Amino acid sequence: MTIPASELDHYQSQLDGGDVAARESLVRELALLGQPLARSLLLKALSDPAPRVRQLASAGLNDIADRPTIEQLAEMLRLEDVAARNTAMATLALIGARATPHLAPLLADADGDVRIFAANVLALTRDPAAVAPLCAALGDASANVRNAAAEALGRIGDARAVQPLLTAIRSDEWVRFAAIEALGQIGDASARAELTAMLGGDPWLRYPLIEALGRLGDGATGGLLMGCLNDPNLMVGHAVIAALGQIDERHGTDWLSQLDRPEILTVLASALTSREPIVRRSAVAALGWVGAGDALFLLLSRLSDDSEDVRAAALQAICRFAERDAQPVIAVFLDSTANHRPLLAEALRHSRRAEAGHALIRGLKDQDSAVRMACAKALARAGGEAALKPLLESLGDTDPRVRGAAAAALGTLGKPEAIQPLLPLLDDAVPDVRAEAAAALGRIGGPPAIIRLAPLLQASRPDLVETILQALAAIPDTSANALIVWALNNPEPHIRRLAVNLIGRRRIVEAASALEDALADPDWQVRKLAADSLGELREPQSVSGLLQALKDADQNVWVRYAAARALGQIGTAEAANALLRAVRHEADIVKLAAISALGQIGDDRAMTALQPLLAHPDPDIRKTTAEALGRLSGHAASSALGQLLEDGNRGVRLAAVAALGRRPDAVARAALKSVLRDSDIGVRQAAHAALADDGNRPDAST
Amino acid sequence: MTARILTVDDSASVRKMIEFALKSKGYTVVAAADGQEALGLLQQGERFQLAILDINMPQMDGLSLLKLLRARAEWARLPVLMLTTEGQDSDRDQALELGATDYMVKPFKPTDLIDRVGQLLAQFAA
Repeated sequence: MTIPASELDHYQSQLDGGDVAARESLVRELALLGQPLARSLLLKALSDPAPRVRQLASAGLNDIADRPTIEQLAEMLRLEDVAARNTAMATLALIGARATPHLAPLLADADGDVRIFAANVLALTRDPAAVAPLCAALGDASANVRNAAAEALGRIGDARAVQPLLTAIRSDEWVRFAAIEALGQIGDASARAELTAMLGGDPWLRYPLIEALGRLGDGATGGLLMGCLNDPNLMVGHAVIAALGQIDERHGTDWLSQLDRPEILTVLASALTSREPIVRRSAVAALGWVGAGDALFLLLSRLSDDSEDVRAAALQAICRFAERDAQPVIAVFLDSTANHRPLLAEALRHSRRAEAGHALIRGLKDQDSAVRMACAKALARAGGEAALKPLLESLGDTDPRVRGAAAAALGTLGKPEAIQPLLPLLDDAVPDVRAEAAAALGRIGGPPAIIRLAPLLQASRPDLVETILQALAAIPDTSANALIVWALNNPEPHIRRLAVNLIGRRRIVEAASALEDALADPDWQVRKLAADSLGELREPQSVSGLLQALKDADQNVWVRYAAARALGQIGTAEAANALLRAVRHEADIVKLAAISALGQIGDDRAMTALQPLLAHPDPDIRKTTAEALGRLSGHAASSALGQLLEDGNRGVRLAAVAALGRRPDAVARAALKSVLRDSDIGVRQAAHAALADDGNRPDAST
Repeated sequence: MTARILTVDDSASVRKMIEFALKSKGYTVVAAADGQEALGLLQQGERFQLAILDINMPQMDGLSLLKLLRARAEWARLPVLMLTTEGQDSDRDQALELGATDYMVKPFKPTDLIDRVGQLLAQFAA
């Protein structure tokens, strides 16, 4: 699609020329504005030198995630620019299953690296639809691709891969290790017998076999694995400890608690230094059961483990200590020279002992602000009534992190007595504190919070008003809706944009007429977002306002684009009539939205309007036309889609194939068969897949 | 003291397989998932007697890492065993031109890897 050069240049120059903060801000704005302006610019921002800009662009593209975006991201797997390629791969992984139809054909790409990258992304999407093509890739000519396919099948975890992976274990020496690991990740019991039988075979496979059996073994498997604990390779001993922990968790067995033997305690201590988090985690869990005295200090060292899982397991293990005898843990916590005191506060949060709560309240006055903050956080769960007054006092702490944590804890406690003391924090000098206070007030909610927040909406400082709006947005019920709508009167455009956006997200139907008024707002972004939100509300009464917006007074193309989309979402006959006119007469960007909207409505009158677009010079228009035709009934639509199979653009042909694949009629099937000789392998594969799916339909023969 | 070996491969299963094989012979093995991570370890002052590098990796591939190793005096003499894939003769040739000590073609058996590592360590210890 052609974006007006002046618009594109404006954003492009900011993206090329600004500093990092300006580029971040621009990418955020683009992400909020959405399509059609954002895609090409956000894709470009994936190559930005600043990781934060790339990350924001990735999030924005994930919000768009339409077919052209996914196609272009998939093409980026060919890039030599590693940062851009990796961010594109991460974005595709975020998009998930919708990316699979564009990634699966790349498993047959001529470039082996592209095949590996495709397998790696499919692993991250964990889409079961990728299982069949990945199983096929187990027969790839390249050992690295076969290995990547086996690893991906493990990540996806679908039991349909079990037999292909067992076959690979029998016949492919190189993939054997990865395939066993994959079977473990899948965790399907049907592989258990064969894997157990292999335990006495090739010693080089013992390690992955133990790992796999930890994941899919039954209670009795633990007994078999105990016999491997004394293997001279410590990796085996560590794998056994991890496997026993997993079996215990799954089957309620207590193998780890049976490791209380001096020689095993040595293995447990060494397992704490393993690089595998799952090994350290099970070792920590075992020490929680069998350890005493010195074990507490081993566990304390794991409170700063790199792995969150291990830290959590260490906390749980220390909590077991505290449950049996809280005093040693409290003694370390109250020792101002000890390490890990904030983490011990977190550990004490899990204790049900009253003395743990008392220690945390005492910690709110500690000299170390990190301890005070940790105590405030912990008291949200462990404090009860006794914590209310000390937490209210902590709202005046000199350290903003403590004030924020106290505010959050009070929000969790949900006591109305906290509302009045929280209000001054909405005007705190530190934005994070304001946000925590706003969220806390939102969580407490109810009429007392609304009554106190309402007057603050008239504040002159826009940042404070924004915080109040965020607080109101955090109130889950409808009691805050009237105030959010009232914010449409705010003189600041960015406040009105936020309010308009919130109305759509919360689907405040009674605000439809206020949104229609916002379609005449002097700020074009407010008008665009108002049209978006009206689309969300789907109120037929809004059609006339949106028809006006389609001819936006300033002729702003993005407002008109959003209006066309919203009309499609509402879908009345009047909306359809306006969209039919827009398809014939409007600028390409608006036309694009109108075509898509007509497809969404499924009005067969669109056939006449769409027919001329089959030869439109812009491939995006032709692709969108194909999608819209796919939603219309009748043979005429199928015939028109057949014409698009001859299109010179690969993307258009793929869209036509996808649309035809969803149609049960004979014309569609004949057209799909004709494309089986297409010059492009991706198009041929898509046609094969569509015909295979079609054969499974009950009405396929009609 | 046992030899310390750096192994760099983006495939988790290949990394584990190499680590398991070499640890069974008592070597200390440090694994990294790509060249960038390996470079980080080296820059932190980690010392190794041998590096085993896969060629195709994200972030930084094995050839780029090899080039960096050979360009720095403190790493220039580190023996490097490159892992190549069948049919990638040009990669193998490029690795040798850039100063790789030796190469092994995937797929290989763990025992073959152990033998080759033993030979290289003996050769460079002498």
